[in-house]
Amino acid sequence: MSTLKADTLVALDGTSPVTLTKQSAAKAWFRVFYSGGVPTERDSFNVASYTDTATGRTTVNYSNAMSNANYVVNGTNMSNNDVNILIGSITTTNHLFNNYDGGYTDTEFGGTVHGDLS
Amino acid sequence: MSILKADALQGKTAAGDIDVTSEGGAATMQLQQGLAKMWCLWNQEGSVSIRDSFNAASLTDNGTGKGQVNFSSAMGNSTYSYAGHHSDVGGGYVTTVINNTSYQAVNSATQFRVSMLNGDGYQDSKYCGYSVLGDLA
Repeated sequence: MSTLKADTLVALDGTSPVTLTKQSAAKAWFRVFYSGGVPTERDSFNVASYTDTATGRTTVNYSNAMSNANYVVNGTNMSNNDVNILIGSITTTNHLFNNYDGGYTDTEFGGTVHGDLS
Repeated sequence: MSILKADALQGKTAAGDIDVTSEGGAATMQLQQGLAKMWCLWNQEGSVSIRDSFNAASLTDNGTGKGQVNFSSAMGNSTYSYAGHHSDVGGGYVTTVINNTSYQAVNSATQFRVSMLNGDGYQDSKYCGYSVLGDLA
């Protein structure tokens, strides 16, 4: 077995992503819970911060921006209740993640982002 | 920092199998398994149209609230995983719920279906976003 060791993979032009990863890799993922009503990260990739927009409504801010707003956000609520996930206000730098159970509610959630980085 | 430049990556022993070491160093994982095989954001309302996508060739409108995405490159089977959301307005809020076992039971290696329900009735959504994880053919 051969093992190739490197810290970064890029295309031959020196800047573009390699074929395998440029479109299909997740560009961000996150898992968040609320501590005293404040969105608090358990773990993430490419997330710089969270804005507590309102009860049950958290803006997820990216470290590296997306190239457009036509990307996909998938999410899951991790409470024991029947909480709906409402995703909106999608921009190149963030999106609004809402947890809704007849009213907005602070419950743990997680999600992924697929699309094009800038 | 070292930079490896290449246009494509291929396993030496098996072309479709490249292992990577985990962030914590305790495990290895097949690189291909962690990559999304398709993602697509589309408009199901009116004349269905793809807003942006990867490995999505086209859409099929199977009626109000019944979407179908056709893959460019087929999956290896029909047992892949997919997840997504529906929204009526960009920046708005989901009013539809994903669920219809009989409709989605016809998912295959070349297509997957989602239903959009609002209460007891089907409803087209303007923003439908999904990603697929599983094995490509």
